[in-house]
Amino acid sequence: MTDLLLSVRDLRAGYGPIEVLRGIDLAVPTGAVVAVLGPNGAGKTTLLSVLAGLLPPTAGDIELAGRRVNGARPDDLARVGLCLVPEGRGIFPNLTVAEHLRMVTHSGRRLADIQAETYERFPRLAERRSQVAGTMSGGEQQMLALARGLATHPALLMLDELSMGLAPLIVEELYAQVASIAASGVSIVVVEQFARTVLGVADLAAVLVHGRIVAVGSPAEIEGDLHSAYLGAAVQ
Amino acid sequence: MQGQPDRIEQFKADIAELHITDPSASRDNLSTRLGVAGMAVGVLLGVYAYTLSFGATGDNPAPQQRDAIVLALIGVAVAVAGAALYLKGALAGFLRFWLVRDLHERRAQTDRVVEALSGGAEGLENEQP
Repeated sequence: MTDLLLSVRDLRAGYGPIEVLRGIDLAVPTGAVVAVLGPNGAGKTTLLSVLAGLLPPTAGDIELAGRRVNGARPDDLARVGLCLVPEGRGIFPNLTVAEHLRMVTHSGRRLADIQAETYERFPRLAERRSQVAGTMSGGEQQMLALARGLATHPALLMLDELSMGLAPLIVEELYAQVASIAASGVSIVVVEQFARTVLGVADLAAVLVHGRIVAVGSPAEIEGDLHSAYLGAAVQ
Repeated sequence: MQGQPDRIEQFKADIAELHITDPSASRDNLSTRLGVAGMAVGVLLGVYAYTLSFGATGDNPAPQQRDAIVLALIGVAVAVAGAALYLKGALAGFLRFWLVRDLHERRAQTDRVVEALSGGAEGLENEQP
């Protein structure tokens, strides 16, 4: 039986009277990359917010490593190794790259180790270590956001719209990094609107439309049905 | 640097030790506290209504006394509502544990019956020529 790191059953969540997630079932095996695809407004970001503990679910169960974690505080989840790289990167525009990495030392890791790891993985950040993040390009900011998340040594990494606003070449470079991170054994949930690039690194893909998972399968299976899934033809 | 399998095991251990507040338990606690507050407020309203009535003076104390009666009735209503809320919160926790214990004992009983039947069936098979 596949060891599941994250399991979601009949998950519902919303904002006040507006229900966004309408009964989501999702399973993330340990060490796998799961892509959650869907059009704008499908509920992808809401799903990650609920998983990270930022938004309480209204119904359903979230299990991490076999334990039900509904109601867990987001900072507790982050401390144990669940890392969310949010949509829009979530970096501090007035702090330098080095200062961003210094912030991660709260986890107990030495700054020198964090910097060595980060600059080896992202040489471009080494060149920009003293540069203020707000003046960097979108791709570099995304690298910084990813580096900051990886510096916490997550067991489960959640990426929200990694490709947002970036040129295709940069997106390819970033997803090559995601593949490398996945190869090191980190379980990854990646949410994307633009499917083609992420399907190249995913082990499993799910399509989320109007708050429901309408298709789940291997990337090859999903890629063929993507148009109909997005446009609702797969919804019976 | 920690290998990833070690990291996963560490993650599982940390998750197992994570303290998670049960949202339903906090609602029951709130219900209990509001109930106690309601009962206390109800009693105080009743006492205040008595002093109001007792202090009614003048040629026509009736209006003030009527006000005191209304206030006393409101106090009774608030105290009863508070008592109901308190009982709801107090019983919910008790019934939750009772249900879990009942389920556990029924499962244990079923396991004992199955084991006994399996043992009986094997005995019969062994006795047959």
